[in-house]
Amino acid sequence: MTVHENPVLPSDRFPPLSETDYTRVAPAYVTQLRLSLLPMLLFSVPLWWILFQGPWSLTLPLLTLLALVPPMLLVVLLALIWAPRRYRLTGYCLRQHDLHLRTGALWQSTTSVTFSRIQHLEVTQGPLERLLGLARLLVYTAGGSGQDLAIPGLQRAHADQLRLYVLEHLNQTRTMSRVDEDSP
Amino acid sequence: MSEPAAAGETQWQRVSPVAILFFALRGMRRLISEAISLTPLLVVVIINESLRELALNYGLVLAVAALSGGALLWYLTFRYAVEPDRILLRQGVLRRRALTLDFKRVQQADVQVPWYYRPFGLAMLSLDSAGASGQTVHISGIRLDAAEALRERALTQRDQATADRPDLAKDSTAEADYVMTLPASEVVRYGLMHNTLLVILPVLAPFSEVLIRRLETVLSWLAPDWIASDALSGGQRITAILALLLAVLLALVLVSVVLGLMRYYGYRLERHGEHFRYRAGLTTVLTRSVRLSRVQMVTLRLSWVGRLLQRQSMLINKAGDIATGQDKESFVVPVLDAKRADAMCKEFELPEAPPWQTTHVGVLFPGLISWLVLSSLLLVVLFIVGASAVALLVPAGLMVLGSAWSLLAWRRLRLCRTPEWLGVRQGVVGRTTRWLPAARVQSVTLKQPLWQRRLGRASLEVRAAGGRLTLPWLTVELAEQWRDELLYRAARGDML
Repeated sequence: MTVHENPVLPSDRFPPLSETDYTRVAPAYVTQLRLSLLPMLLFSVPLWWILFQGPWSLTLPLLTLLALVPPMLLVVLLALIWAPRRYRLTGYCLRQHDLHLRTGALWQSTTSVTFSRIQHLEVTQGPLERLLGLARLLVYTAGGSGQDLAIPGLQRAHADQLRLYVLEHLNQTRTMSRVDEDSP
Repeated sequence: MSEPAAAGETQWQRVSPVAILFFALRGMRRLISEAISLTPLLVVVIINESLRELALNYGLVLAVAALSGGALLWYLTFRYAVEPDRILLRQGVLRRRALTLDFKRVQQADVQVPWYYRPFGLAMLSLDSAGASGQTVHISGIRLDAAEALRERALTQRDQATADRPDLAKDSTAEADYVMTLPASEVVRYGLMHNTLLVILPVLAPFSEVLIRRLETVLSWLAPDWIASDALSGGQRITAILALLLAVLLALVLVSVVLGLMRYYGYRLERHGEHFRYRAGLTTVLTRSVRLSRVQMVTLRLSWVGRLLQRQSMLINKAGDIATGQDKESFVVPVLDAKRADAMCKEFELPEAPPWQTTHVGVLFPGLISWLVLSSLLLVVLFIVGASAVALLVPAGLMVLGSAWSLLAWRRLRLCRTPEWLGVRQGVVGRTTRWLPAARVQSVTLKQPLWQRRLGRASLEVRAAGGRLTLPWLTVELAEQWRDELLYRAARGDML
């Protein structure tokens, strides 16, 4: 895992993030995104009903096929355009003092947390993720009730590794600062 | 207070039997709040005759039996133990719970004296702990002096644990650095400003038909025949009904004034070093405190009534408030005239003349577009259905009003960033100003929908334990700069 340095600068801000700083998540995340589109096929149920009620006397297989086509088209379109784009834009960046997550294909967002604020970390796996051997790393701070940051699409082992790394880093910074506090 | 025996065995204690009253009242409150979610069921019971009969005959008896039995069981199962550095609790009838709270983890300690405890010299102690879970421990029905001693002990140990500024270790007997009191005339204004009962009225609207029918029976029972009598002309009848409505409104206002007085009568705020503390209440006296360095969010609220009365209120959130989701847990300064507001802003070190900035016109669009789309859709649908011209005026009016509202909301929206604070001021009729201390930021999110990216803009969402602020449509450079500065600020505590 790449760790970027952001040493203490004389200025009062961190150096800006650049495009190259982000580490991409596992390629299997594209598959996860594509599979997560499948429930959209359920849209064909109301469509099927509308066609069934309509004045056309269609055979049932033809009707089903017709009802399936529009949601199918949508799913294929999203699977071909949205999923790869979202995968390409999803990435995290681990620096000396902070952790960033960029996500979203159309609604892009970058969430940032400093290590000093992290309260606890969690690795979770949904059924789909378990199937693909992926996991999510959830990062909690004291702000709000839910997690502040969830890094999706990590290899299970990598997620655990990342969690341990951040935890260790956290302890280091805290003991360091405590030593500093104690010394007059 | 009994110290634990040398053997180190935990000495479990019971609270005073008077606490049964507390448990019963709490049970009743829970029942009522549950009842709100069961309102549809209640309406069915009220409308159906046989069910109503059953409820009238046995409902009260059942409720009383359940409440007193439950309260007794709660009392019997509630035990607590005090150890030198922590407090232990055992409670629960069906779901047994054991709680341990270290004094040094206590964020806030309140001592309340409800009216029914006063003759017995009893009190209720509430201890709030730190952390995202933000659990609260209530020990009701212990002696007032014991409660005060426990509160002092908790606060002292907490301050020792976080002794970053030992010189400020608070001494409640010492002369206060700042004192503000609110005379009753001001507290009355609070009741006028925060008329929660008026908010309930629209919620009742769906049941208005049933209610009006009930109201008619009540009216005829109260016997003003003159309303129903034919002697009145149409105009007179309308005047009479309006007068009645006005009377109801006045009664509601009166009730909320009384409630306001009960909560904030004799309000006295003191500052000792960086500790703020207030004491208020007519029947139940509440003491609440907050440390300046623990402030997570400061909200200044000016409602439309407040605008007329030229008074605003101030709400200070501490860590853990949001987890319990309770507004009432926060530190409140109920009424502030301009002079007191200035003084309070100075006390909490808010910026004196904030450099308010207007926002980019893009902020206007989501609201405006949704109003336009919604009302034009309605217009088209009504047109297709073939509604009358008058009916078509409704969506047209909606369009104009909604657009004007969005426009005003955008024009009034202001942002501010100083080295210490982030501020957002908003409101069309009233005005709400929210301040978030830059040092308390937990996480920062930079949001860029497609259109904002095209225009080189981004919105910054800043989260703290007391809530979140959204600074919309900044230039990307500014948003990134602010983010990097805020993160640096958050990390600095560890680096220095």
